[in-house]
Amino acid sequence: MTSDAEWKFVPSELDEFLADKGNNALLGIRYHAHSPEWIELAMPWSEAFVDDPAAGSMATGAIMTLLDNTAGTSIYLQRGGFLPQVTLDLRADYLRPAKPRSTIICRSECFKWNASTALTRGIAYDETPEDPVCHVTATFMLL
Amino acid sequence: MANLELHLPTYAQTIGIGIDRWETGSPVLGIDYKPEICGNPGMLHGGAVSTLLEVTAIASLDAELRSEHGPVSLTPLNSTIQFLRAAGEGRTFASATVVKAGRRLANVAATVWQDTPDKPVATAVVNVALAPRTAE
Repeated sequence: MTSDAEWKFVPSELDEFLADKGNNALLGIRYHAHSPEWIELAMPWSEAFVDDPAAGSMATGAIMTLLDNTAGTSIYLQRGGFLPQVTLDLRADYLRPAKPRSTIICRSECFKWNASTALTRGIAYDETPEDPVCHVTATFMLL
Repeated sequence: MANLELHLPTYAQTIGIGIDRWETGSPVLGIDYKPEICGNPGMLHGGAVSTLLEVTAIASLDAELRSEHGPVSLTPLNSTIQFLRAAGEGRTFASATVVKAGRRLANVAATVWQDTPDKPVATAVVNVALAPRTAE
């Protein structure tokens, strides 16, 4: 049986988990900040991750990956551990294109959870949280 | 209808999304599993599935509008995604149906599957803004 310590969620150690593998590592997604309620992850700009090279904004697909990750991480924050979960649904509203060559930061909070499901809401922004590029809600099934 | 040369977003090409084939004038897109796009090991990341859904919705709308009106500038307003089952290693496919295309907005439904479209991995509805087709 796995000890609780092994699964304990420590925000400052999150980068080890994010940089380890897969789509998070490819996109360079990293811990940015957190409060007791929310957590922020950041995704640096790359010319490989834009929509149209002439415009230079990060693609909505890359942003959706950040939204999904940050929403899931905000549940780890509330539950205090890396506990198994899967995304049930995700809705992203695009408010404006991201500024060219800008790092995208997503802030998400898990505002309700019980034994089987967790509800999250968040935004993505390039400069300030007051001027978001995207609004997101996502529901997760807790396993 | 001739099969169009669709331009896919750079990010979609980066993770390996491409046109797999055409079925009655509509594109089927595909992506091969690789460790760089996994979430849990051996499973496609939900973000990669979301990207495939949205890119397929836009590509299908592009194909349909171009055949009738020529190139139209398309901007997604929102995407609502339902994750139904995990996508494992192997090839993953997607197709989309234009539910409604008006003058300014379009509503497109997309499906992602692995073995058969009857067992969808995920579905999406994407609302898309269409740029004016005539100069002001």
